[in-house]
Amino acid sequence: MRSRTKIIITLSLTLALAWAGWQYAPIPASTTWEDSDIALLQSMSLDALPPLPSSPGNAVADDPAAAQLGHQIFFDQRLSSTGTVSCATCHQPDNYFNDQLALAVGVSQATRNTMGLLGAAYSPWYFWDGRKDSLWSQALAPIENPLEHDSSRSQVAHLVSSTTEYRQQYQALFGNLPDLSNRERFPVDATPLGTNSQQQAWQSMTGSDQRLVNDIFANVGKVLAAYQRKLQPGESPFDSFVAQLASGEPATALNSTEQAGLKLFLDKAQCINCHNGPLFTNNAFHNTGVLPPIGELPSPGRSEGLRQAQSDPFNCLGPFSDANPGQCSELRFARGGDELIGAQRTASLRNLAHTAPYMHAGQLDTLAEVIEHYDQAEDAIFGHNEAKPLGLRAIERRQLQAFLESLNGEIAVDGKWLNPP
Amino acid sequence: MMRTTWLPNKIIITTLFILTSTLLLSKKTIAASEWETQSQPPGLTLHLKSQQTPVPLNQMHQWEIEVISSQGTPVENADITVTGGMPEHDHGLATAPRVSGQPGEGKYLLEGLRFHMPGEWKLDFVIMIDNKRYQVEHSFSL
Repeated sequence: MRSRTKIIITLSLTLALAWAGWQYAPIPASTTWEDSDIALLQSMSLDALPPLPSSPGNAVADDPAAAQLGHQIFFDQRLSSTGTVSCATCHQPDNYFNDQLALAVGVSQATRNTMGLLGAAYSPWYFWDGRKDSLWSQALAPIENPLEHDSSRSQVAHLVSSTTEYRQQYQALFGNLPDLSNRERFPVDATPLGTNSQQQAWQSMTGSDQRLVNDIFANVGKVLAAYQRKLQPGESPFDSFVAQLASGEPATALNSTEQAGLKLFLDKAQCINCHNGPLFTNNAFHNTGVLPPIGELPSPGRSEGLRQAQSDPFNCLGPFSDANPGQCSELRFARGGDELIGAQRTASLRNLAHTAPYMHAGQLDTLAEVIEHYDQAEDAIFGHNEAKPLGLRAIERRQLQAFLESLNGEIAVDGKWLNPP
Repeated sequence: MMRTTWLPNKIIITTLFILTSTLLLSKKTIAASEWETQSQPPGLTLHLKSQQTPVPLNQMHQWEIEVISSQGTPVENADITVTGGMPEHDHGLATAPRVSGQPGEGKYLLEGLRFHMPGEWKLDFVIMIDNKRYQVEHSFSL
């Protein structure tokens, strides 16, 4: 009996040790990189980032005067019902244009995690669910969201019209502003999307007056986009590592643990499938089985977001866009449907350590939790989880995390754009 | 005993050989982004060509489809629809591509293609000509 107990204890200890060894013992990590690997890594380096894509819907996208006006409006708290919220309230320059919160807080708590703005101009779609198809159109939505700026398009039009320096800059860019002084014709607080009184005020306006206000509102979005196009990510240790590999120098910018994590990123962990290109995102939509926040219904994601984008008067094909229809291929050829239920936009992984918490509603606090989530890849409770379980060992999860933390760098923009003007 | 097992085995192997040969012969890679493939039922040859070489990742781009009859003549006025996806990941295309023009000589312009992941992609072409339905399955790696 005693010897049987001994055998059981010995066997249990051996199994526990073997399991711990398997999970935690580092395999000597290969730091050899084939030419094909280096070519793939070069496609993910900031050196491979193409020039900013044109923004056909926004005629002032690259106008320096528009960027200057957008810079001022970006930091202007008068664009809110409380006078306390600007774009920079959630998109904080000191926090990589993020807010370090699970859910954004404007005039009250919103329902989504703040998305970063660095490199945002490269995406064809905006918001987690892709309900906007341009940076200029995206900039309009938070202004009228009752949880964020809680303002209205007529308030914005009156602000631009009544602030001398805005008025002058606006008119230099877009021509004369209409006279909005008649408050019967142009109510102070009117929008088709707001409260009953805001909607009634909007309905009291003639169609041509509504158009005048909408034009000003759209143009404010366009100058905000012109400013945000300046916000780009800077080089990280990963980019230095790729440059070293490509030039044949000793590749020391990533240590052996980070290099092992990079190999996992490309291969076993399959991160590269969606987090590809120099911004580590395909800007597409995927359901990866992320649970909704406790007590909330799952998000319909892109399946609903595309419907909203298609019916948005401020989309690429709408009357406020400067594009011709042939330039709106993303919107014209977008694919929706039930397959995209619960699908959210792939986020950039650059500066990842500065953008926690993660996922569309900030459900996961740490990178370790994110890696665990993808490692398990449990069935989605809504729609279909595209990801498959990865079977990562504990040591591999740590290596992957070490690599992901090497993607942090500076913001590549003149410091004057990072402070209020 | 040996004979009774040998005969079905031979039939299976021969069938597999014929099927494999048919599949191999039915598709020809001309370049990294250009292929020639046969329809089911037989009768059409499709010449597929991406207008960007190699086929780009994450970029909206166009393909040209050339439809040729078994007599070697270009086929005009075909109605072509395209769907597809990544079987490995069990999802469809990121976009809804459509034929948007017919420059002539059996050529069709396919607009709105964007492949957003590396890996094996499958495109399913349905070609309707005078109410007759042809299908082409085209797989390629990105």
